[in-house]
Amino acid sequence: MPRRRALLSERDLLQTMTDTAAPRSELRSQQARAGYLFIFPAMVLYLTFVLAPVIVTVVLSFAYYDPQLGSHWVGFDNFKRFFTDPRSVQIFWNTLRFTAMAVTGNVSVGLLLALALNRAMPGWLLYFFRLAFFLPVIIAAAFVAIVWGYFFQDAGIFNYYLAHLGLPTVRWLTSAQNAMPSIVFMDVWKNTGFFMIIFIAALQGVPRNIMEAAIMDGTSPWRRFWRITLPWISPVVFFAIVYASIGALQVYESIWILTKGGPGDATRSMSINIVEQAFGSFQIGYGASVAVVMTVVILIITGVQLLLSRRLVRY
Amino acid sequence: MFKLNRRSFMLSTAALAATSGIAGRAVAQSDASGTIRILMNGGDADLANTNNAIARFNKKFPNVQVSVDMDPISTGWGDYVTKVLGEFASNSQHDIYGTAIETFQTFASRNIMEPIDDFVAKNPNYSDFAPALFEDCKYKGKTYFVPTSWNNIMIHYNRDHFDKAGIAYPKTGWTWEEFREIAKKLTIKDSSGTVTQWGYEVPNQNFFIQPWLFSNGTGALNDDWTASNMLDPRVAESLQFLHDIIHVDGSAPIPGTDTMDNQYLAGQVSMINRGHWVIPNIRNAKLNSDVAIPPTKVNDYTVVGFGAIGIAKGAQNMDAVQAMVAELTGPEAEADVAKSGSSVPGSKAAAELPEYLAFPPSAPLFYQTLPHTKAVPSPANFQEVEKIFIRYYTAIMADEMSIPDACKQADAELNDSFARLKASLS
Amino acid sequence: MGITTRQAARWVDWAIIVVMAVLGIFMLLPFAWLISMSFRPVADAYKMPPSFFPTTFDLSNYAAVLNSSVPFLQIYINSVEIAVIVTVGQLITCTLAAFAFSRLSFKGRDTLFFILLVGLMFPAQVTILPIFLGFAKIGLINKPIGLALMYLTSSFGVFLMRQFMLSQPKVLEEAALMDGAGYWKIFWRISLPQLRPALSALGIITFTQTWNYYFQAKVLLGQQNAMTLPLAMDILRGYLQSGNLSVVMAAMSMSVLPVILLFLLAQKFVIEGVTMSGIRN
Repeated sequence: MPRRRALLSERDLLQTMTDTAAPRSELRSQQARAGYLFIFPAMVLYLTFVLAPVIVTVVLSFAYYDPQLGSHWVGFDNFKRFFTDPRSVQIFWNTLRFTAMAVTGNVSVGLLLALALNRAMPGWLLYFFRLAFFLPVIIAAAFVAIVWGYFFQDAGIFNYYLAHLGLPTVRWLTSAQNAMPSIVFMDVWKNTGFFMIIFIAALQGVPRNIMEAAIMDGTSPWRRFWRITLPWISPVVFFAIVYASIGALQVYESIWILTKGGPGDATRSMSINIVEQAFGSFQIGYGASVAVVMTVVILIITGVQLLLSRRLVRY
Repeated sequence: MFKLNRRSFMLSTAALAATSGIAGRAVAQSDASGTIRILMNGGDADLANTNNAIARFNKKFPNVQVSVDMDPISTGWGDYVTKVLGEFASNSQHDIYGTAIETFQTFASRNIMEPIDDFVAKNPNYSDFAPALFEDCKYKGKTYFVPTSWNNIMIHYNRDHFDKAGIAYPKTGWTWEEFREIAKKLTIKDSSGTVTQWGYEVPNQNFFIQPWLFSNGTGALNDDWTASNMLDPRVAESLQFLHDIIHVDGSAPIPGTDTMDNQYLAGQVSMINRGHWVIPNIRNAKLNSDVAIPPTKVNDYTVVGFGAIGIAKGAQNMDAVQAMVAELTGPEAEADVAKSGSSVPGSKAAAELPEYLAFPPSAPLFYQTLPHTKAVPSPANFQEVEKIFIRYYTAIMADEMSIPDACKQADAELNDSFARLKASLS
Repeated sequence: MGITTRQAARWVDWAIIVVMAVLGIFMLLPFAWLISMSFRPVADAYKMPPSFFPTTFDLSNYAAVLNSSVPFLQIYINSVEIAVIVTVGQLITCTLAAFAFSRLSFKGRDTLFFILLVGLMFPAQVTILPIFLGFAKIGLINKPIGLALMYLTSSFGVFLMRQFMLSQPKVLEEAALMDGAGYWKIFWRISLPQLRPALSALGIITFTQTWNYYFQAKVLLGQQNAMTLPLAMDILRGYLQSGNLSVVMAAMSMSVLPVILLFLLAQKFVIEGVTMSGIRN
């Protein structure tokens, strides 16, 4: 059995083709030159369109930026304002809450769907299911916003059916308590197909002979999942969790199209706050400082996940 | 507000004097060349009107290339302000800007627009524009914009719904209480308790809410837009009234992020607060709809907002640019606005065109109401003010916050914002 | 295995299929509503009970889109242009970089790769303003190519392609190297052909993402002749959402169509491509 590899493991970062090849210095320098050439286009574009703007944003976070009225340095004032604003706590908490719910929802539903599809069924059915579950992934959220907005309205489609079944109706988006779960619901509808596809791929890598042996031994499907399947695909699950977390911590669109952060501040995320401050209110320096805080938070959370993975993920 | 002040009197005289001079060279083609870049806002109809104006302009200036950018203002005026200020910051500004009162102070206080008093004085077409609108285009005594079109918020109502419920159409001077009763009567539920027809849409936009404050003799800001007025008990009273329409009467849904224009077209809501821009869609949907002046509490004041055209400071080709602005604000452009119904035209003559008056039945009310309007409060920090107000407003309407608490916190936040504004302007 | 367990297993299979079918239909409901509404006049848009199938087959909403002053065809061309340039660009830059990161050894490689990965953590909201100011200075605002430039490479793409390459055996490449083949030749003749499924996976992900960019496009492309489809939707939706929703739905149906077709065509590749991505050895 070949060595298994995680999508984001350290071993990956270090493994190279030439680990085993003859370490001749001429070959080395030749290879290095080729390597730099190959990564050149991507690196230059990345520096120009990602890193440089990020650095500008960090610089702006220490400034009051308004060229017509006069920009000036303000030191840590923008950060001070963020950390003393009582709204920041709520916004920060909303982001974490969304992340916890959306990551759990997307990854677990995606995994369940993948498990359900990872079995014998007629080809056309498989085709239909893949289309049905993956279609939302490829459609712009702004497109489906109108539809979901109407599904969730107080007198919308969901409540219409609830009322006609004699059930109490739900204030899906207009109550602070329900708004976030409703957004997560839409977000899972939109994104879980992406994780499903990844998990389908991972499940196909679980060696058949081990599984068959377990079946012969009469191991229950429940035990088989926990003892064989899950450990085997744990690197992929871990990748999915990290990737989903980074996306969820940056959540903008899913919230913006349904509640714009309301009612009140009940669903406002850090990204929405950044856009509202920097673009919506022309407080560019302040918006930049919130962006810096958000980036640090993402870095910390991803770092913690990486550390945890060493204990939990089987490589 | 329709008083004939000294300035508008002078303006009309100047206009008369200028008419003869300009008429002679109107047809002549200019050999000026170059490019003009315009940034406009609005939807489909506005784009069409702008394209028409450019076509007319190019007959006179065949060698000047004009390009239009369009911003639909889908997320409010804040993003637009950032875009425009960003253009100036990077020296890539347009020559001509279409904008609205919400941004006037933000732009004028940053000294990025060209004062156009002379241009306005020389142009005869502006003599029949409502002087009150030109008054609002001034900042520290100078005129920066030409008001091309405006919208005052009226109650649009579905006449079929009124007929079916046996309710008389609203009359000028109807009161808040009458309105509330009518909204209750117009709300219809099916057997399961699902509302199939709402009496009213409690508005979700800053602009649409204003009449409920103005008609109660108050506003979210003080009269000169320099401080919060949220602690005025009449503000709380207005908010309580709207809150009760939702939570006591059940005759309106809790306002969400989407406006209910299309539900109004579909006959699922009987009354909405809107300006004139919804008329083309109502007309196309063949809805039996009319407008009424918003109901009265202590007066019958409503809000007016308007679109305007301004010239960027330091624009090149000033002659051609001014000619383009003249075209964008000229009689044909005003007639286009009137005919499309996308707004009320700034020019009174255009507002008397039969196409404009054909629909809705009470079309003249828009112009008649103008003396009883106040501009939408638009300080230089409008973008922040609007967001703060709406944030607390939605919390109140969703019953997530008590009105006194919300007013108190909104007041503090608004005054913080004004303090920051003061610091940055000094 | 006894008959009863086999029967039970079959019963479970069917139960799962039924549950999945119900879920699948639920997933598709919003699309059904979107499309059916595009064939209805707006007066029937919100009719209750909701109908998810076209009750009438009225093409006037589609005609309204094409007759509007929004240059829909030009905008369609812009969207295709940007999506194609970005997709091709990413396929090139990402595979090149991925080849180096997975197959070649050079100083600072892992550090550089890590720096590239950090890029995943910056949303467009953080980077767009400096880009806007920079583009404005060099005249790239309102040029579709400007938006395309921004996305000619992506951290995600490099990462994904690298994972694919790592999952491939490198015997062929090593053999070619021993035979004295240049790195370009190895990349072009040996690595790339093996990666066809991966290329189509990245291709469809990139194409659909680019097709759907909204926030970025809104900041960079305001001009009617330069804008992309999501912005055209915005204009059709009108000032404060006052536009005719049925017309918007017609425009959306039209703009969604190529993406669905592309997915149907590429589905096979996508699924196989992701299957390969370093998860299977």
